[in-house]
Formats: sequence, structure tokens, C-alpha cells
Amino acid sequence: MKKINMKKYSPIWSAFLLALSIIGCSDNPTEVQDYDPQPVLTAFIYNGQPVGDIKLIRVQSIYTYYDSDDVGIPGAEIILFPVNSSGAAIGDTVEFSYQSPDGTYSPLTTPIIQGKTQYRLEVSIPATGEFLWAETTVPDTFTLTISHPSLSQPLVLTPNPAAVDTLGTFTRDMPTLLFQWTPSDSCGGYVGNNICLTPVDSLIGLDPAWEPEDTVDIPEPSRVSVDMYLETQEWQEYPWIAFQWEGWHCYEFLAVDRQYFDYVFSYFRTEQGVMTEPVYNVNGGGLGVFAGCAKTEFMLYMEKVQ
Amino acid sequence: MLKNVSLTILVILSLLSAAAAENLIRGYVVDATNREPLPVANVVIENTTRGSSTNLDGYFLIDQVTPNIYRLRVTYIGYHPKTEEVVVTNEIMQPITIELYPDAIKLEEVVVEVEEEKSKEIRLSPQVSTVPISNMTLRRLPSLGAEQDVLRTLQTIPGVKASSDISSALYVRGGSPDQTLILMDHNPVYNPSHMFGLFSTFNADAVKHLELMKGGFSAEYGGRSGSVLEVITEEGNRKESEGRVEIGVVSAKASLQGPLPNQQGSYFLAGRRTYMDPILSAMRNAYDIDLPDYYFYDGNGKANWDISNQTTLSVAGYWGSDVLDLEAGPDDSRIKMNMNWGNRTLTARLRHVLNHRLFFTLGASVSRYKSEWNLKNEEVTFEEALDEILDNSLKSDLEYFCGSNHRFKTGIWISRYDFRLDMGNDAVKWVDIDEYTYNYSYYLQDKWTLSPQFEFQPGFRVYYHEAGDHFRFDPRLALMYRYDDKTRFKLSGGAYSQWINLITFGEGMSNFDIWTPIDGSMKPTYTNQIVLGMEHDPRKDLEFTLETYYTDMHNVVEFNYVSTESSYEGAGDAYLFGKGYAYGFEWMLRKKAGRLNGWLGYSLSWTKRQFPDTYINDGGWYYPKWDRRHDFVAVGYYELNDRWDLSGSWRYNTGQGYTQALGVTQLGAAGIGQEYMPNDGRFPVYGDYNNYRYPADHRLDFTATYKHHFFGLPARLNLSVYNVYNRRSFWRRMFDTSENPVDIVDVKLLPILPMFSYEVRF
Repeated sequence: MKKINMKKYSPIWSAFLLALSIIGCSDNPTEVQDYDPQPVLTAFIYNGQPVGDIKLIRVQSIYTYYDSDDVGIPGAEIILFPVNSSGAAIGDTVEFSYQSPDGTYSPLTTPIIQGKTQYRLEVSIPATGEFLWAETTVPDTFTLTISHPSLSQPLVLTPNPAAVDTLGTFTRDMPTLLFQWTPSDSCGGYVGNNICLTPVDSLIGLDPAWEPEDTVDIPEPSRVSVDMYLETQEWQEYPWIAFQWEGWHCYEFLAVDRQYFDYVFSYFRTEQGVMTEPVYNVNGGGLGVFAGCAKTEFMLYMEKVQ
Repeated sequence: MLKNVSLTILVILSLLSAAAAENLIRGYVVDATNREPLPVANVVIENTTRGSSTNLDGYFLIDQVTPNIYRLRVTYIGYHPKTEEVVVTNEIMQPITIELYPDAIKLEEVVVEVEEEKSKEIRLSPQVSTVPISNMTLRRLPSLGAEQDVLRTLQTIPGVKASSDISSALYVRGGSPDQTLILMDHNPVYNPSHMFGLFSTFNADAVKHLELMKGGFSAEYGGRSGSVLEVITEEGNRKESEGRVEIGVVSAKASLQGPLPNQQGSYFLAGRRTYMDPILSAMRNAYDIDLPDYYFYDGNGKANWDISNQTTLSVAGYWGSDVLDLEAGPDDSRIKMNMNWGNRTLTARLRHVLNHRLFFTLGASVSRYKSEWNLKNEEVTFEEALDEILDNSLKSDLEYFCGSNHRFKTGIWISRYDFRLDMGNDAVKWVDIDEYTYNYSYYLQDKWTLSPQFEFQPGFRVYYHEAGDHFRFDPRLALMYRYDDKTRFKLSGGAYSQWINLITFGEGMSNFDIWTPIDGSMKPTYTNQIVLGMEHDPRKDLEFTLETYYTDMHNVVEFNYVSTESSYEGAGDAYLFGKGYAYGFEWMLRKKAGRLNGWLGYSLSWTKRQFPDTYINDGGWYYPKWDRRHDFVAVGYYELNDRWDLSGSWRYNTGQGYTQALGVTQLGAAGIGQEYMPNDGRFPVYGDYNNYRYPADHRLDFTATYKHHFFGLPARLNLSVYNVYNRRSFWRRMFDTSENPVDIVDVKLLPILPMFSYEVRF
């Protein structure tokens, strides 16, 4: 048998290995390549409320200052209309007009949004030939009941009241609030927005150990926390730990469509680091979210325990 | 039905063996210091090409030998070779026992023998893509925290990737960690890591031998679609009792082993525990900061009884746990988190020599992985979860030595998987799965040396999986051609099915890993693999291996992070299904003897995945995070003198992929004005998954061991430095939109870490 003389063929082996190394050079860039910025559409419609403003902006460079007052896409043709299950228009079309460089488009007419109805939003940008669209189903109304030992009777809320109710004044050492709600038809889940209305420069922490210096180094202390409840859930004890600052709070409880629920849920996933972006529901090469909601809200005042 | 098939085969083989005329050499190869069997040792009749290799019980057989006096040449990695004289007569030979001494014990006559060695030696090679690692090699290599670590050692083998410095998970030839079957004493281990993935569950002191089969593995193994790691724990010193105590920066460990009464067997016990909890407690009290309470512990036990000359019973167990408690938040409303997770395994294995050609084993095993966590605040439970996989298995194998060059192995494996996953809070349970299923498999594996040049290993494995009524047939084939006494060419491949998948939430979060058996809502993952390789041994102590491979993957799974279904029909509702492929080229040059040991290795590889019609990269192909193009490693151990040993490893790899942010936009939320949005709603916009690369990484680790005596007892002081020149590897690129413009922050991992451990043997 002929034996292989490794020494004789070592130059060949070396060339072979070198060639493989070159072939295997990374086929991925290591520097950021040019990016064609996409349009971003943000629109929310609420059961029982008139059609409101929407936003159409363009993604900006990651390396430059983001000026939120100068990111709008002018000249777009935007329409909103209800559709049936086949996608055919079944009601009046609302047109929008460009208002400001921050991307705001206002409706030319303001019909009331109906629950259990599917809506379609279409955006056409003649200057670039882009066409975006998105659909949502607006959830039905529901009833939210809030109970607490300090209340003589539970507070019962429905969407779109004449005035926003006030629950009262509370401290973190009190028993928890109890939320109970009736199911909302056509919803994909529920979202709670806990918003502290105190200005950023006047924030006082509810933590007894809080010192003013604690917020000095934080560029923007968060004044909002968002809760999520599955569509099958019907009650929740609400812990006081969710309230961080002293002052007036507005709590919004919304029934939302499935796509918005996934959008918020996936947004939380980005904070956990398991996803990079939330799941958008805008189609046609754009980003953003178009969501239908039914909203209740109430106010309460949080007092610090000294 | 499967039981009847096995019984029939057993009867036929018994009759065949009884009818054959017998002139043969048989016996056992064992460690001379403790009489532990040495698997895959080579036994060759001197000046011939006739020989055999030992099985896992150290048993070998060479048949068709005429009555005469023979000299057997016996070799095994990490041990001094030995030549033994054997007399073969017309009588059936009783098994002989050949004892080998470890390299650590210097025998002058053996050193001389090696230097005079001129004869050509045929080494019967193992399966393709198989890398054996002895306990000796394991203990010599540097690792994190001066703790020898099985999984981190394997990450230095070409074809095995690590996802980061803080992860001990194995990504073998493009496969995800769940595609590697990890067996400890023939029992699957489901979460092989401690400390959130930083360390493996395998106490190196308890490991006798391990084999990593990177691909193309035989029909004897099944249930996973990528690779197999077989870990065999120490059996104990059959001659005398001995122990070992070691204290390090991270943990303390101890082991004890010895013979059973009347030397009818042996036992081995080992335990390990961290002492981070008192340190963390002291820091908590001293600095009044919210630090967690954390510790882990594990233990191994094994006992072997020689019931008779033909029958051995071994029982092995593992138990380990990680516990984390954390309290944080404001004084008036504390948030408490409690987590605990761990493995329990128990295996009983009966080995019986039916006759000189027939080996029978029967095993029963239980493996359980359980993880629990809860997050509470005073009166409200935000989330609590329980995840448990319980694997009860019964295995039976028959190994038939048709001759020294022909061996059959067949067996059945019956497993019951019980799976529980509960997730919810006080108000609602959003996941409530409690199910079980059976998986039956049968295999037949032939190993046949057709001629001095050709070895042929056909086989197959068939499965029936009850949940979903799945049936699969996995053919396997391995071919070897010996070009000459130093060069072998190999081809191996087949189909590989997988019946259980892992959801992982990323590095540093292995405590949240969830193992899910295939149920009626899912199809099994499977791969088709082919491996082509060449081995060349330019010298007795050098081995060069060159391999190329291709794998295609089907029904690979990824957790659906966006799934918010209020009810689940089955585990499949929580997954996304896709496909993938991997191919590459590797070489490894290994030095196995002498003062300098170690290896050089290089791999060039590609792997891609796709989850069509999902949010993952919008359904397009992408590189997973463990795809790295080039990997080079140099590992060495040098015996400087009688006092000092030095070891080191240097690794270079091109960067992992990451998803680059290409721009920034503003997001909105229903009901929330822009002025209340975090960072004014600014959010990065990303490109395709992992379409950019971090810079290349390289790292040097070093250990110096000082051997001495401590009050007359052998002792070792290990001084190790992890990341000697402090080059911190990239872990994550973050885009901080709280700054305007966006602040791009590269998160890097471990800096230079000097550590030590001290070991005393008695």
C-alpha cells in the first residue's frame, strides 16, 4: 500500500487550510450598513369616542439627535373606514389632513367609534409610493367595579362617563384595591395604565426611605406603569407597590384588541431582552400600531406615610 | 411486542454461541490503582493486526486464535501501555484481568519500553466525531474559578461552541443545547448547570470518563437529534479506601471511595456546596443593600456489587439543587422572589455475562428536573410557576461478540415522560399543563471488521411515541477504511429523532429552562446528518483528525414569546416551528502522551434557522446566536517537574451575530400621552436578526498546580487565572434611548479572575 508522506504534502495542506479560512471569511458586515428608513403609523380609536388624531412619522438615524417635532411625513393620504368580515367598507370614510411637522394628522370628520366593529386604516404616500394599512376590531363596553374597605360602596365604572370619578386618598399601608370587571366582547385582553400626574421635577417617592437625591441621577423617572390581564381574567387585587410617587394618579383600565395586547406584551419582552422589537400590526413595509380600545378611568390620590 | 422480539433474539444468540467452536482470548482491562474497568481500551496481539477494544465494562474478546502463547499489547489514553503474555489452549479460556497504571505513576520500565517502541500498532478507532476525555485530562485543564468543569472543557473541542463566557451550555455543530443527549451513568440529565448556567452539574471529581459524540452517533443512542455526551462516574477503588477534600473560591467539595466488605465491589461518594450565602449575607448586613441569598449543592453516589463472577449490580444517583431568595424594593412594600431548581437521578443497572460471547444489561432509571419560582409582594402574588419533567425509563441491552471482529448490540428503551407546567397568579392560571406520554424505542447495531481495511457499522433505531401516535425509523451507518496503519477514512450518517424540547430564556437564566415532551399538538424534531472524516496518527502520541459535516433540521422549536392565549390545547401552542441546517469543517491535532499533552483545534462552520410565517425575523432565514464562523483553540498541559504542573488554553473565535439597531422612532401607547412615555417614547428600530457581528474574541486561561504534602498527605494547590490579559468578550450591544442621540453600550463579560483551590488526598 502506498503511504501518505505528510511532510511532502504539508505545503498543500497549508494552502488548503488557508483557502478554507479565506472562503470562510465572515459574510456578515461588522459595521452598520445604509438603512432606508421606514414610515411609522400610530393610531388609537376608542369605543364611544370620536375619531381622534393619528401620527405618521419616519424612522430617524440612530446616530443623530432625535427631534420629535420634525419627524412627520407630510403629504400622505390617510383614510379610516369600518369594514365587514370580508374587508368591504360598510360605513363612512374619514379623511385626515396633515397638521404639524411632528407627524400629526387630524380627522376632517369625527364620527363616533362603534364597539364590536372592525376598522381599516390606509395610508398612501405619493412622494415615495409607499402604501400602509392596518385593521383592528374595537372591543365592546364593559363594567369595572373597584372595591376597598374605605369605600362606603364599590365604585362602578363604564367607558366614556360624563366626568372622571375620584376614588379617594390612599396610603401604601392600607388594604389592597380589588378590581372586578365584566367580560368585554371582541377583546383580546385588558391593559391597565397607572399614570402619575405629578410633574417630573416635583416627584416625591412614597418609599419612606426615599430621598430627593434618589431621582437626581435618573434622566426621566418613570411616571407610568402598565399592567396586563388575560381576556379570561375577571378580577385582580391591585398592590400598592404599583404606586411609586405621591400625588394624583389616573388609572385607565382598557379592553383592547388582540393585536394591541400582543404589542404591549411583546414590548415587555423587549425589556426582558428576549425580543428586540414589539410586534407591530402595520402592513406594507411600515411599523407601528393601530389599536381599538374601550376605556374606563378613575383618579386617586396617593399620600406618603411619614 | 418489543419484549418478545428481544427474548427471541436472546434465545437465538445463545444457541449460536453454544454451537460455535471456541479458541479465544478474553478478559477485562482495569485501572491498577482501583480496579475500575477501562472502556475503549485497545487490546492487540503483538506483531499482528488482530485485536479488539473493550466495551463499557472493560471487557474484550479476540477469537479464532489457535492454541499458542501470545503477547497482548494493551493501551489506553492516560495510562502506561502494557504487554501481557497469554496462553491459549483448546479449553475455553477463563477471562484474564489486565491492570494498567495511570500516567501519573512513573514506571521506569514503562518509560524505556515506550522509547524502544518501534512496532507498527493498529489502533481500533472509535466512532466518527467521538472525542473521549478521561478524568485525568479533565482535572488538568484550567477552568473558571479553579473548578474543573466538564461542560467548559468540552467547549474547547472543535465543533462545540459556547454562547458566552457565562454559559456552560453546549452548542454542537449548529445544534441547540437540547439537541445534545446528556447521559450520566446511562440516565438523561435535563438541566446540566448550576448558578444560572455558569457551572455544570458534573462534579469533575466524580467523573471517570466521558465521550462526546458530536454527530453521526450509533443506533445505541437516541432521543436527541444532534449529539450525545456520555458521562460515566467513578466506581470507587476496589482495593483500598481513599478520599479527597478540596476548597476553592466558589465551592468546597469532598469525595470518598473504597471497596465494599470482602472486596465484593466498590462505592464512590462525592459532594459539593458553594459558600456564597454567608458571604452575601455579610455583605447585605454590612452595606444595607438588597443582595440575594444564593447557594447550590450537589452530590453523587455510586455502588457496585459483584453478585457473582458473571453478574454485577450498580446503583448510581445524583442530587443537586440551586436556591435563590431575593428581597428588594421599598421598606414599606417589599417584593420577594424565591426560586429553586435542581435535578435528581437514580439508576440501577444489572450486568450479566450470559456466556463468553453474550453480555446482557438491564437498567431502570429515574431522572427528574424541577424548577419553582414565585414573585410576591406582601399580600399579592404577581406570578408563581412550577415546571417539572420526570423521566422513568427501563432499558435492556444485549451485546453479542460474534468474534473479535464482529459484534452485535441490540436493545429496547421504554420511557414514560411526566410533564407539569403551572404558571399564574392569585387571580388566574394562564398555563396549566399536566400530561404524560410513553416513548418506546428499539435498536439494532452491528459492528463488523470486514477486513483489515474495512469496518462497517450499520444500525437502526425505531420509535413509537404514544402522544400524537408518532412512529419513526432512524437508519444509521458508519464506514471506516484503514488506508494504512496510521491513516483511516470514515463516513457516518443517518436520521436522528428527538422527543423532548427545551425552552430557554437566554444566558444567565437557565433556572427558567422548561423541558417539554412531544405531545399530540407537536411533531418531533429530527435531523439528517452526514459526516466525512480522516484520522492520521503521524506518531504514537499524536492524533490528527479532519472532518466535514452537513446536517439538515426539521421541526426545530422556538418558544413563542408573544403567545398570550388564555388556554392551551397542548404544549405546541407555546411553540413556533421551523427548520434549519448546519455544515462545517473541523480539524484537531491531539498529543496524548509525554510531559506535554493537549490539543489544537479549528472549526469553520455555518448554521441557519427559519421559522416561516412568524414574527421571528419576519419568517426569514437568520443566523442563530451560536453561529460563529471561525473557532481556534489551543489547550496544553505541561508537567514542568515533580512539583509543578502548568496548563493553559487559548481560544480565538470570530464574533457572534447580533441584531443591530438601524434607526430610532417613537412608539405610542393607548391612553398614555407622549409626555408620560418612557424616554418620550423613543425606541430603536432593528434590522434582520443577527445580521451584524461583534468583533472577534480571544482569551487565555492559565493554571499552575503545586504538588506537595500536607502533614504527610498528598496535596495540590491550584492557582488559576481566567482571562489572563483581561480581554473582556462582547455579550450584548444595547441601545439606550434614554439618551438623545442613542447611547450605544457594549456589555462585556468577565474580566481577569485569579482564583485558587486547595486539595488534599487521604
